[in-house]
Amino acid sequence: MEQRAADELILSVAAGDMHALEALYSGMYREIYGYLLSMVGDPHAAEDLAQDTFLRVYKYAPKFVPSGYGKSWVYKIAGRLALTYRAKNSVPTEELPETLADSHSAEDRVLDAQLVTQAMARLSEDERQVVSLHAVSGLPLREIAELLRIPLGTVKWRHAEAIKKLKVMLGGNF
Amino acid sequence: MLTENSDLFEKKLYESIHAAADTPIPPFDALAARIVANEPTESYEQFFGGEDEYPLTADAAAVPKKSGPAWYKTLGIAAAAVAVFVVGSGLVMVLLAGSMRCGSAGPMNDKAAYEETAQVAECDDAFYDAEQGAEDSAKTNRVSDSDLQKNDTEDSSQQ
Repeated sequence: MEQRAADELILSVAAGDMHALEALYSGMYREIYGYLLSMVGDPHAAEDLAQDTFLRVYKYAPKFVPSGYGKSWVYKIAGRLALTYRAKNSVPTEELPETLADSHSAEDRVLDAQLVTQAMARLSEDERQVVSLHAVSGLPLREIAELLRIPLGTVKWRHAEAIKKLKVMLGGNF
Repeated sequence: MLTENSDLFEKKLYESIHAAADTPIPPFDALAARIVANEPTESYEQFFGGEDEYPLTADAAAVPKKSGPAWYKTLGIAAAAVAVFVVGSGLVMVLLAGSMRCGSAGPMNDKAAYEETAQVAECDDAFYDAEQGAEDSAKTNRVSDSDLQKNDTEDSSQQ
């Protein structure tokens, strides 16, 4: 979903349009869920937090100021919820398994995803956020810099550091 | 086996992250029901802590930057200022020292130059006087010789 499309939907939600909220929900749910999953590491918690995100989008829509960054606003709400969740719950950092069967079966792909989720939980919040946004929502680094309101160089550096760490953690399993 | 190709690793990494996020979307009705129940109770300002800028991570919110461009920039500017001051002072001192040797600047150097000139002038005068004296003496001697010769001639004619 484009930023400006999200802007228009949020403005419609602010006017009480539930269809607009449903369109926003179905258009952004998967990427918000994926982002939250990367941030908190627990699928059930990510599901609850994703619902909370859209609940707050509906409640806070009258406060939204359209500026071409509607998606960023939704991500901000999701990020705040993830932050609160992590502050209240210690995210377990399990030991990663030593080896992984070298196979391309669906089961191994799922296992890969679980390993990645665990490895992502070990990154710093800033690094995890950049990788999540880039991988899940497909946002280019430049848009991530605009979303987080930080320099592009900082985003690139965090991304490079995160990939380096993940390579060390997962290199034997990829 | 470690992969040497970072693009390949990133591709596989993102595929895994996508796979983890690939989940069926819960029905919208559940969300609608919670809206009807007037959830949540938190206000916008309470949710974002009343801040104008809403940091997205705990790192951005709580942890002060240990180092960054501003710190390096300040240090760089200070170092540049010190370097300019040192080099500039050195140049000024070199110029001053040079001008003292040449005698082309300063009241003391003018005085020294004047005295030196006066000494030279006195020497010149003395030398002139000496020369003149010698010349005068030479003239007197020549006159005496000529007179002697003249006297000799007169004596000879008288005899």
